[in-house]
Amino acid sequence: MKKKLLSGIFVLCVLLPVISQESDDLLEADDLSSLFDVSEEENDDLPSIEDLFNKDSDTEEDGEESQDSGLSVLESLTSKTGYTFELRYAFVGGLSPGWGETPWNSGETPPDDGDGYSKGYTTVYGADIGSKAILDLQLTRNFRVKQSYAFRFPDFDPSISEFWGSYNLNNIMYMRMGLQNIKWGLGRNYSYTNVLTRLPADAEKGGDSFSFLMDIPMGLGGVQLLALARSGFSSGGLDDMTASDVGYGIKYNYASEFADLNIGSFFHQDMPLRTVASVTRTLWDRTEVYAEGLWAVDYENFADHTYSFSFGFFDSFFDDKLYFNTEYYWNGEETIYYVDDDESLIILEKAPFIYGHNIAWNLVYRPIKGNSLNLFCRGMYNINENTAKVVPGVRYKPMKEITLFLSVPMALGDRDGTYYRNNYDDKNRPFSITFGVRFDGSYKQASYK
Amino acid sequence: MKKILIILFFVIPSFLMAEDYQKLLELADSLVNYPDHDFSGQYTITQNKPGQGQTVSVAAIFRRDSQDTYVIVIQEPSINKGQGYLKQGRTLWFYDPESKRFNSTSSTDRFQNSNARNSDFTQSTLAMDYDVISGEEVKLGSYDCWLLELEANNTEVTYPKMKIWISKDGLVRMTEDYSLSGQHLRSTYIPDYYNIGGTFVPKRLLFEDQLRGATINGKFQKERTLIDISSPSFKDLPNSVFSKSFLESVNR
Repeated sequence: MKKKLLSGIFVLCVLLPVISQESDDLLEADDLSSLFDVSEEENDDLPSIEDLFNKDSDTEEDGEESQDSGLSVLESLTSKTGYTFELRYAFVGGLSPGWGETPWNSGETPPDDGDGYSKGYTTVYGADIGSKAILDLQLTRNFRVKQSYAFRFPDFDPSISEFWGSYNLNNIMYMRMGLQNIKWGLGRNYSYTNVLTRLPADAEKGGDSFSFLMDIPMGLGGVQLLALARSGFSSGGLDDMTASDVGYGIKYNYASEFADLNIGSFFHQDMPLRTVASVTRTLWDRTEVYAEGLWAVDYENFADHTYSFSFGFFDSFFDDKLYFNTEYYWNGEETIYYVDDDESLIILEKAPFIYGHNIAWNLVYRPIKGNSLNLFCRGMYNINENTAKVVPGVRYKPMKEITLFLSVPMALGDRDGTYYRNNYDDKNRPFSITFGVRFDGSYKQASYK
Repeated sequence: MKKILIILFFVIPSFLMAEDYQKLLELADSLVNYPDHDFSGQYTITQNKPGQGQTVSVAAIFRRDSQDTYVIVIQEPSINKGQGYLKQGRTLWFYDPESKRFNSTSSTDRFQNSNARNSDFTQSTLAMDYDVISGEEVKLGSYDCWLLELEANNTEVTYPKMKIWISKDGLVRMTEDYSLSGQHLRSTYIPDYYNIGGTFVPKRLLFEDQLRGATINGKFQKERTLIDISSPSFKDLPNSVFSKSFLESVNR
């Protein structure tokens, strides 16, 4: 017995360091080449096949042992409790000389003034500091809480961007309640199918949403049920919320290798009933094509309805150096208003985009593979108004934490077009040159047991 | 059935006909495919980029070959934690918890910018996707192997040409992946396997990129990725694991 024990200790003392050394060597990639001594016939850079395949026995009978570990991977993923704490910081500074007219219209009289419309030459200096603290707690196997606080300067605007609790009902149903960001639709350029962000015209502001969400997996996709209230829905905020302030939605996702189909409806009594549908499919293992549609109907008068639709594709070319996306969008929604007894214009609901035919594009070119330098150009054009906004630019990350960018936002087309007054520039200048630098970084700590 | 096939190949003489090579591919596929079971495992992916150091990723893999689907959840590094992949047939979605969006991606794309491809995590379809052009018996270290030259019979595969070393027990030990023009793109080494009741799971996969790397001290060093697979299991998994909702729920 003593002899067996001693020999056991010997085996442990001699073999264990060898096994662990082998593992370390493989993980220490700098040492990988030294693991594979080069034979004379082989290219110097190839690992020595001889060393790698010279073991006598390499297929262990693991049988029951591995089976016993059973659901450990799934369990370790879903049953551990603990926390993730993350801090994110971003510091942005820059300047933007710009003009109240585009250079090619400089000799002409500017259109009549509008709010926030700048005439002549101006230079805007900008600075923005943002921070975010995120606490993600897995309190029990099934119950998880996430809180996210943001603070911005110079607005001194602290806000809670996420604060929700979720419950996993044995992987049959996932429920989540609280302040959360729910997105519907594909929305690469025109997010008109994200109907959960729509507000009644008399809403004071688009406030935070409080919602209850239930996801029921079915196949790869599933059904989503939600009830959503937004402080902007009622004049008094969430404190004196009534049943009529709550909107209700249902969405079904059918995901298969042929297509990814979504169809959903959202009802709120102060807005039209909106039904959205989207379908995406990947062609030739590389090109993503997609289409979306929206049908909005006055639920008290079904004859009063509008529809919108869009379709586009996304692809990459030249060994992923060039990314291109383009989209056509028919917007059938117009701003709804009426003139009251005092001949005042009362807006019932503001359309999120310009009525009619719209085209958008995004182009990103990375000339050097593996380098962060990228040239981009994005734009939107409305055919009905002959108005466009375009922003070409260049972005470069010389360091992981530093981003430099230069862009030239401009408005094109008719000078009384919407984008001439409402474009990418904060001051709605139709032509500007923006230089900027951004420092950003984050710290994340997690512990799960 | 697998065991019978293995025995057959043990007694087969060293010359094989083209149809035998195709059967050899079928055997190699069948040993590492799990049509009757779900599979789960933890993959530790160590990426070495010469001059840039090492990065380590940890991913949980769930496979259901009977439905040609898999789910991958990234657990480490923390910056990518919660990212996930969901594959169904030839469609592969990538989930980003930051944007909360599913975007389709390609099976032929690099996995987390490593030398592994997304297609390396799915079931093996060598016999279906490739025709054997030639074969010979060779030595690979201490293994007697069949070295087969393969050409793809469709355009949906990641590599149009391959060389593949299959040991006499039917297991793939090494592959060399080529472009259509014959450019050597990548080598893959699979030195050892788990044997779980006659079904095999690779223990380690070593990928070596033949084109990507850096010249250090006058010598070109190639990028390598080592995947260590632990906790393999063939226990049934809940259906909900293979869903978008699951990826959204485990993104902590």
